[in-house]
Amino acid sequence: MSTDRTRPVSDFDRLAAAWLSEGPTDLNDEVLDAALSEVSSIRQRRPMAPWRTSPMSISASVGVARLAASAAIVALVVGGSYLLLRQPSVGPGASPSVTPSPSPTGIPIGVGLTQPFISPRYGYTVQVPIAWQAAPATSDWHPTDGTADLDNPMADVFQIGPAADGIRAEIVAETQPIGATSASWTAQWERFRVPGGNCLGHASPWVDAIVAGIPARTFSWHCGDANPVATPKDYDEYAFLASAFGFVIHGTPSMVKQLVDSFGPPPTAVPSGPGGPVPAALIGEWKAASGAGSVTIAAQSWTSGKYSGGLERNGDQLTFTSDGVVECGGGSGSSAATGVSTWSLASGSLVLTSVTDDGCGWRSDLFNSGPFSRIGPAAS
Amino acid sequence: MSIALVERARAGVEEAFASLARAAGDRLLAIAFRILRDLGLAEDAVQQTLVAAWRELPSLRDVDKFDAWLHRLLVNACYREVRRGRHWASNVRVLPVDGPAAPDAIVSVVARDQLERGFRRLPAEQRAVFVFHHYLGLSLPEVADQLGVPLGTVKSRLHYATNTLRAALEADLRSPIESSREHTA
Repeated sequence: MSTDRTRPVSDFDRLAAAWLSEGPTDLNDEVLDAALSEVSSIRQRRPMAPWRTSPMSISASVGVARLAASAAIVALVVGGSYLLLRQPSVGPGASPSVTPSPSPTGIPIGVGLTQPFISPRYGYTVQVPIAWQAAPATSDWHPTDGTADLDNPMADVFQIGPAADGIRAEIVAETQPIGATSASWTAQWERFRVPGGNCLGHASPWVDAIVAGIPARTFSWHCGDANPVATPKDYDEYAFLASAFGFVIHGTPSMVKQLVDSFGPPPTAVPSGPGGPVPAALIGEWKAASGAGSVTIAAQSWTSGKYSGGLERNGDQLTFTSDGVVECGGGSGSSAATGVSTWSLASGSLVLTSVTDDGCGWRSDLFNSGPFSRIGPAAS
Repeated sequence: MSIALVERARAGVEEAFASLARAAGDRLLAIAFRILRDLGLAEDAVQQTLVAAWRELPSLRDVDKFDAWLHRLLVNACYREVRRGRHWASNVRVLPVDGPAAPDAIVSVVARDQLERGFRRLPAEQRAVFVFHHYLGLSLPEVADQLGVPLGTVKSRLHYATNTLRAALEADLRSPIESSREHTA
């Protein structure tokens, strides 16, 4: 019988240290070699070396013509982003405006003209100094799958000039999980978050905040340098739920302040503008409240049962096409059967209203039997 | 740790970084294993740490804090491993007994089993504090500094971890006869 059975727990520290001393202490050479091999294939993040591959200067898009050119260039670069920067269709922010950009932390964030940035993936709007550069997200963000990094390609990344080492901010969003509330989503993010990142320092506790009139949670991180002046590695972070998205705004405090102060949630109804993929907020599986059926919406396609086809947004309208006569249902339609519906999204409820007789009568009937509630996550 | 070596690695010299990695690799694995209690996960965490260290090294301002910074990256990697939920073993793993890390005579088989079970019930944050304090021998302010959490948080985490493990051990101290007497009293 072990003598440990009579060991007083006052010996706990010694026992714990002895127990922890057991176990492997040698790193397998293969692991080290694999790490060093990977190192040789990646570049260090350096001043003057952007950490993204497709920078776009917001200042290059002040004028409409220059805006269009810039959008075209970046659209080519990111290969799929259909819109980067444009003037808002309505509202007071339609023109570049002079906005003082205070820097309470001492880190320059750019002063002077600001320009609206409309996230092509997440749909929100922020007003950013023209000195900033933006690299829009090109893939979905799924934090609960372990994608905790707030960086390209999941994040819209903002950076100030090449000489500003580490001065950056990111905005990411995920489609509101089924059943999530503002409180539950932010609480989940807080549990998941690993404060600190890659510097030494201390995080403040999470506290309540307001972003665009929406309840949020925030914390600050300080890298702990002896110098009390803020460093480029300090960051603030906000988490909140808006327009059926869970958002995180993260980065250099002065930049985050600018983004938070000017943040406009994604429209819950109608984005205007040219045709393109459907808004991310619509992507997922939706079920009609009437029980008439369900439809799964992807960025450029739809399915409902055994039927499927293409999908495109044009302003407040969605254009549905069918893959073929049979798929349209019994041959009553044509292979080019096309239906157009308006859409709106409010409080997580999707309303589709057919505006044309599309030759797929069942589809019009289904859409008009809404509203629809989300029953499945965003399509992969 | 050579400051000159860190500065060369920070300047992008891969050979210098390789030297640093070789010097730190065993220590990183030892820490990661003690937090994660799984050799495969620990190796993954170390590999992630080294890659992140190389990528982020130019942003390290105080090169004399390289070791502490590396520990920070490692703990973050361990947290990610835990939260990914991959291979989170629920069974007790038989520890390697070779070399200098052979079981200590102080720790009986029974106590080792109880500690292992109790430790696996701890959240990753409590594990890290416990390992940094009891394995690395860091003071609580040093643990707070390396993990980047307030001293009060470190004390709290250590308190809960200690209570959990003590409870696991004390449960083992109670013999069946004693327990039986208590139940019938």
